[in-house]
Amino acid sequence: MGVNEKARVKIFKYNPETDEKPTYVEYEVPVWERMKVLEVLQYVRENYEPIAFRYGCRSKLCGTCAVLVNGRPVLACDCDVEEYMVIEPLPGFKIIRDLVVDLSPLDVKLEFLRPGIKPKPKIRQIPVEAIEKCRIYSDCIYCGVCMSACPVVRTAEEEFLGPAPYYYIGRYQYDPRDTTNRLKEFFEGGVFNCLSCYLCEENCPYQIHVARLGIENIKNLCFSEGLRIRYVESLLELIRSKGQVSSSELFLKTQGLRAILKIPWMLKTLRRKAIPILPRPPIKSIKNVEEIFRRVVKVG
Amino acid sequence: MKYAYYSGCLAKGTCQELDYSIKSVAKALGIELVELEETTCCGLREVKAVTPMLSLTLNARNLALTEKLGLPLFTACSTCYSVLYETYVRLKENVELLSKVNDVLESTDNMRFTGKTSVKHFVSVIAKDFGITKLRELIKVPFRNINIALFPGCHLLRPRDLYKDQGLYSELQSLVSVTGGNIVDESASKWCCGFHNILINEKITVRMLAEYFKNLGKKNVDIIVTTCPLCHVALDMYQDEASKLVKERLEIPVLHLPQMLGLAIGLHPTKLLLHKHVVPTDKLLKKLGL
Repeated sequence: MGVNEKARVKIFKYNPETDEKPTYVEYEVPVWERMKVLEVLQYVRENYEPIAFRYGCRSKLCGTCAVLVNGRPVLACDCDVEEYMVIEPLPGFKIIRDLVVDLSPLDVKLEFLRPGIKPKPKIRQIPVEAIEKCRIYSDCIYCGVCMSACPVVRTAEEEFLGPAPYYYIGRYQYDPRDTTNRLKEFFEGGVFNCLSCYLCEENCPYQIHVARLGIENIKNLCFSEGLRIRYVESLLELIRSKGQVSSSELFLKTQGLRAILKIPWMLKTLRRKAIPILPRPPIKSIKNVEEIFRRVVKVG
Repeated sequence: MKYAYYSGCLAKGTCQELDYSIKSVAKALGIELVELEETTCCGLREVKAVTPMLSLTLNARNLALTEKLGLPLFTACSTCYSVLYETYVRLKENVELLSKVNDVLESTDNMRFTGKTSVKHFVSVIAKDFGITKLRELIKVPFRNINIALFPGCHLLRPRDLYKDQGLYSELQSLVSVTGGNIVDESASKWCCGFHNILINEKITVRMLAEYFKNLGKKNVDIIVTTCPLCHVALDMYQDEASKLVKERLEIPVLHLPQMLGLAIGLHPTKLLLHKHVVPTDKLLKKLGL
């Protein structure tokens, strides 16, 4: 957008104590060079009427100014102005007023994973490489943007703690001084409900590999320590014994007796869709695949 | 134009119509496909997460089998593409990892991955290798007045740093536009079908689908077009379940991109197995005058 142009901005307004439902108020805001969404909010507050929003450092460090701009979760201090904008509070959180949401459930979720260091009794020296491994996890500013981008958190919050806690905990989990065993919490927090859709990574203001370095590493840790889910075990077993995976075999292996509950759905679906029901024969070179499983498990 | 065809497990199982229509479209466009044999499942992102080294080795084996044919690998599944392409990139970049993987492959299959092949998605094969201009000349049944929602599937777009500037999404837009259809919804590029949770926690998948269908709202979408069979399974086979949450009878046909292109270039619907979907496609065919 060019300087001296005007942006049309619709802002979400809502006071749960007095308003029956939220409203959107439209404002016209002059645009200046390198203007950010945060400055738009400040302009509206100073020139039109009071609106509630949060901010702190104005330089992408404190993580307090996260809002939704045209449906995308962003940090207001980091987001460039667009010609037409709808600015709303971060979804998935309780609204306190206008754009201010209650982020305290985020702290509760992190608390569940037991943050902090329970140090080993005697530590003489820590190798630099060991610190480097956990340092990357300190890049997260815990702004909540990834939580609002995560489709699982948005639709089934009770099933998954969300990307932010699983990434943030890395600074303690991979700290060479720490002795806390968090495996049970990782598993119960629903780590295997993460879909690896990478929307958290795409929306993160720092482009952190939230899913790959955070969640997937924790899935790996759980799996190596024997905390597994039937779906992944069945998938691996079918690849090991057949090479290719048949959907019906995977379905039956994973669901077990629970498959009976899906009979009405199966009948309805199979009426139209041609799904092969017979087990798939293994590929001819399946012995080689089995050997890969043996070798790689041994290698690491 | 000749490719080594990696169908992926779903195209040989639940989504046979995809395998069938890819072959019909390829034949019509003069693209030769040599079906890869003895390959394994890519393991999806799940195997990559829980045992990264196993995922790398199995997919390096798939790539080495492709190299034996001396052809580029071709797939129409976004998740297979993402896992195979990531394996390709990681092994090309990391010599130490490559030698570790090749040590295993040499002892088990007497072969090595050398990096001579390449990994391609159906979208770029048609849009780039075959060419949009050539395709435009072949359109016989334009999708005029058909409102389309695009559903690329997460793994065609993300992880973004992996794909860099491949431009698969804009190629997909061009392919759909060349048929004359109106793209009226692209919200799926910021959403997920939830397939990967179907066998873990189906409730999540159905809720995510319901949220997507709610967002389609009053856009009068005639069809959803997807480039991933996993998304197709969720959107087509679980649409009725999602209807219950949306509290509205949904009946939006979901087409694999090869089926849509096949119809547009004049292939008969039975050659694309359009009658093998859970959500009927009759209304669309009627609108197209077929």
